[in-house]
Amino acid sequence: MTRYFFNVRNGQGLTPDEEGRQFDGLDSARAAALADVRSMLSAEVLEGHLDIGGRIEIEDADHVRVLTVHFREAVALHETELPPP
Amino acid sequence: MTLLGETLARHLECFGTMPAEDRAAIVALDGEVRQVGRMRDIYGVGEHPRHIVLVLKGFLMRYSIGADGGNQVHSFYLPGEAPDLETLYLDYMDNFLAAAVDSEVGMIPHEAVYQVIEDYPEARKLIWRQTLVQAAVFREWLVRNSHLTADGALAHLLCEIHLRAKAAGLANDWSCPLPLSQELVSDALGMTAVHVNRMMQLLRRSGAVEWRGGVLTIRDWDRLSELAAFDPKYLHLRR
Repeated sequence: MTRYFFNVRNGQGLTPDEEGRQFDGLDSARAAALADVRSMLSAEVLEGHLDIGGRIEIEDADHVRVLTVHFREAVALHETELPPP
Repeated sequence: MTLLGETLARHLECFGTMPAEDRAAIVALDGEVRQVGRMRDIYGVGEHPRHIVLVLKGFLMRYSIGADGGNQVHSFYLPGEAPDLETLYLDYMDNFLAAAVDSEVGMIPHEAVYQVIEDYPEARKLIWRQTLVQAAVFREWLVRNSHLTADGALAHLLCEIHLRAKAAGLANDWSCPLPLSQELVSDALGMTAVHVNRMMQLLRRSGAVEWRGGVLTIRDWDRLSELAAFDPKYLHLRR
């Protein structure tokens, strides 16, 4: 198990992760980061706004950045073109 | 008087009073003291508990595992509290009781508690009342998780922990122990750890609260409780 730190950067600035979480590898850390993004974005939608321009910068136990997960990777955005009513 | 008996009596007295003879029967209750490592279960689903549990040190929690494999924490317990008095009258556990951090617990045999319940009506009423209050807290958590913004829900949990710590004699002015990881808090709020971290930062920046090194310090109760639409009536605290 490795400890990873998930620093969030978006329009409201940087939220450093001082605690970190244990994962068995970078793949699980990435999956958790995607879930984190979805949780944050869904809360934004419920408040009536959405900024998908952010990212989570994942650092390993030595605080070396090992992966960046962009918010837009977490949701497939569609806007279906409907025929006029 | 025993450590476990006195701990239980003080906890019950958060919810009401009892005459000296009922109190004496409670404080005479005794059992064993056990150390439980962080994230270890004390009782698992399907088990038949034979003891009631008291938190002596650390922090306990109860949780269920969702169909998607995720944990839903539905309660935290501070030192001095009794998480599972309902096991006295339920046949088996339908959820997990576990240590959220390294903890020390007291275990009093059910048989001894049945005797007190049989013989001392005022003690019996307080035990009954305590389990009803737990149900009230579960209701409040449901409403909190569904009807507050993310920062409001976190603020609500922090308000509750502070008041319960105060009732248990653990608060020092506006500070109390909160040794939980953000991951566990996120499992209680139905969010994720990173989301809780962001909301915590929001609350800290607003000057409402600090949470560092396992200590929660409330800087602005009015702001925090307003954000949480917090009304402490559901805790039914009389002390």
